[in-house]
Amino acid sequence: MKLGFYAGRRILLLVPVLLGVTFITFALTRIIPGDPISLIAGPYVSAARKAELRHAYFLDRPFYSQYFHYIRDLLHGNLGTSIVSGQSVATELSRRFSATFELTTTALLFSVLVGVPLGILAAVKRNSWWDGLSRVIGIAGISIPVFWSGLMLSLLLFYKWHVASPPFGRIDPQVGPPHHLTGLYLVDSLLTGNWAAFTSAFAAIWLPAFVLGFSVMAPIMRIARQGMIEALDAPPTVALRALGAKPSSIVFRHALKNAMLPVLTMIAIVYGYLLGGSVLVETIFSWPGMGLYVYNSIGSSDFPAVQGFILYATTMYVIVFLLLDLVYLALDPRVKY
Amino acid sequence: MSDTRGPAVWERPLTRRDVLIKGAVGGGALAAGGALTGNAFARPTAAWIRHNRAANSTLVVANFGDMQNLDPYTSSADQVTGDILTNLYAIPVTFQLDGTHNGARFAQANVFRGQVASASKWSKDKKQIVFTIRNGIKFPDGSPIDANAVKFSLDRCFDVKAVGSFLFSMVGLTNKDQVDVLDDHHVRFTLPKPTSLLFGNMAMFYGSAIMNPAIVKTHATTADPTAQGYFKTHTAESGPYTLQNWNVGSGWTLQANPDFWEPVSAKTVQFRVIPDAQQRELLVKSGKVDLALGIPLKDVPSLRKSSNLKVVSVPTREVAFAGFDVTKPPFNNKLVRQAILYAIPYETIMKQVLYGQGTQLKSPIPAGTPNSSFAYWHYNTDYAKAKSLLAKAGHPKGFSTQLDIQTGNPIDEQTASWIQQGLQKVGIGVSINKQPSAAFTAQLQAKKHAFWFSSTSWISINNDPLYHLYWLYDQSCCTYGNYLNPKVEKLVNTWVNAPLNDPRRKAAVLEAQKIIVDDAPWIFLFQPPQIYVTGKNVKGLVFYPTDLFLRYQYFSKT
Repeated sequence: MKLGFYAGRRILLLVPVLLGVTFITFALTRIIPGDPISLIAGPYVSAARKAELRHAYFLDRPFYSQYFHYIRDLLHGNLGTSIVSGQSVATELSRRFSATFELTTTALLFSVLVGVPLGILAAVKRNSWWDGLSRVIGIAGISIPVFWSGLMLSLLLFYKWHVASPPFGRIDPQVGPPHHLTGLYLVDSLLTGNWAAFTSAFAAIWLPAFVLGFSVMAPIMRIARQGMIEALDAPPTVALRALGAKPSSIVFRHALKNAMLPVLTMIAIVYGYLLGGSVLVETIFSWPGMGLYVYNSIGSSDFPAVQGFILYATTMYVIVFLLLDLVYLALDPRVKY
Repeated sequence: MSDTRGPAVWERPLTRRDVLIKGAVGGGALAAGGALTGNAFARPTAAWIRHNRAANSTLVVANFGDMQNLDPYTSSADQVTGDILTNLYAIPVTFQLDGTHNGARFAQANVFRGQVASASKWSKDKKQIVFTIRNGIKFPDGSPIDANAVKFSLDRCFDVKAVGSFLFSMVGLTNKDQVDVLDDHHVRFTLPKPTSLLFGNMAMFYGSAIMNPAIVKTHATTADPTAQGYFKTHTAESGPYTLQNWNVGSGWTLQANPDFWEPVSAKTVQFRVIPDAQQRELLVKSGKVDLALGIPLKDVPSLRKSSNLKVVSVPTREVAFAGFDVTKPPFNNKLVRQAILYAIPYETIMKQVLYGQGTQLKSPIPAGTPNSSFAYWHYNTDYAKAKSLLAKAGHPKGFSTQLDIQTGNPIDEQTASWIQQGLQKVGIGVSINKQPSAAFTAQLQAKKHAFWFSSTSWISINNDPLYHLYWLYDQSCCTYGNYLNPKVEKLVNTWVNAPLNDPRRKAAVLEAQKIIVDDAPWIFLFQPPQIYVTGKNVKGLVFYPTDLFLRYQYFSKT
């Protein structure tokens, strides 16, 4: 009951945060020099026609009036229309969001499932060759840029050895996307029993997810190692060991829970970063996600698209951290609300 | 082609083109047959051949970007969308095919043929032209493409104030009432004065795309009577292809329009959006795609070594120049501008930036446009001369300035740094200011750059020298550096509508080039090439020098 109340209050607090974000984004996109109309109209078009176009997109109005219209549309769930593509920003973002969400979640799953055990192993077998190996993997993941590893792996696995599928995006266009339920191809194809689509979607996602996951695995692994070392060296663990508890019981029943708290924080930070920052991997693997969309939109000063994206990304970030706080509450008895 | 009525102005070249196309297709079929008999294990069953044919008539293209606004009249005509709209919509008059270069067939840039029109006839006073609309042609839904449909589309062009309507007004067609329907098969344009520019100004979808009136009317609303909102993401085709699907961000498919009246070899064209150039190259090398677009010049030498690829590099008429605002000091001094032109390492730029491809530009009018002359050029790199001119201009120690370029284009960034290095040698310090494209373009159109460079700033869609000078040196829209020379303006305005083959017009064009080259309002730099990479088995690449868009109907595979 108390937890529900706490969560409700936190969700209410999101409203002023998001409102503030819309204002800052709106102001920033207007301050940066650039006129989307000059790009879409081209040189031949007369000044009068450009003025008409500016009027059609409300760009001739004063700042506060534009902002008011934007907020009013937003309350109706309307993120506006992209000036460049002419498509609804909400539709484009939701389509692209599911692509980015599927890729980053798969990448994160990979980095957690591999990174956390490696980190724990490194902590338990401190200064052994296991520890050294995990350090090398960590340094490699952080220092090899994804545009290089992505291209190299594509060259080797797709072009030379034919084990990866061509970088055609989320699914082989010949197979076609599965019936739309969640927008996540792996999930939708499983739910509808479309085995061909699942195989194709999996063949398309594993390499980009590996490249992306590998690049963020290092911090998770290092934090897991650090947390585990601290938990193993803590007085209660020492006492347990002195009392003759089994080593596996010490690691998994007692130390792990304490070691996981900082790992959770790191996962949340990495996830927020991934949701907005996977533009390089998306570019290399032709992944039709949000990163590439917003990158192009910034170049062409496509205000509604940029605003929509930032609102989306902030919302995701805040929700992830809200969930993190709730999980902390459940895991750590020291945290009170 | 089945149309036998009316004066057959454009019929002969059409037939010749047919022969070429059928020859290519027939050759392909023969080659496939040869491969079959050569393989002892292959049993040429009907199903097997059908299967092969289906694969052979599908062309897979790796494109660098996604399509944007699909309305042919309000589209920004960017390279990706313009390419597709060209293949979706038929136009009354298009370019004739002729000649080859580096393995690509070329279309003419100044010789026209009918597409929707089968013939045209000027009145005696050259102020009226009557187009005969081809007999019995249809939209994919079966409704006729007749004079009324043509008039309907041209009306819409004026109603939405399309880019094409500004090109029509340049030749005196300022109002839709100047277009009349005489009967089902004849449309008449009435112009205030004779002009030689009409066909060149209308041979593009953004002036003359024929749209299906039934579809436009269905989606028109009182708030949006021309259905512009609907056509941002939908089409009303009349051309070689229809848009079968569009998976935004990933790709789209064109399907041959069975009602189109010209031969279409590639029945299905699948486009994949592959933003990374290296991946596009891997895909075409692996045979997964047949054609890769947007290939960087630096990769051309290594791609040429690949035995299963065809690399086609064709010259364009795109003028890459760095402009000065001639009203702002120090660029308002002609001697300063000339000094800068002497201090540019042209040969290094051609070698290091263009990898020996493309053409060095030595006039405001590019090579490939009639009456272009590089004879007035006298700015071969000469740092001593540049220094003495600077001293004469009152800047013996040079000065410092800023060069504006767009981010994200390696050619622009490299060229700018060579300009910087050249000017450094004569004491001019240049800081390079990179701007996002929307900011750069807005400033360009507002004429606020003092010194700027873009390699993709201008290509004249009518291959006429005075059309080119009219926009870049006469019209308020596009004289980005505020260079307006009354002598040049007079030459342009006097002769712009005169026939291309008039010797007095030619003399005027040469005179204008001489004046402009001497006045040095631009650093004349280069005409970049256009690169296409295809599999060895892909035939039928036809290059249209006017608009640089491909016509997929000619492609075939063996």
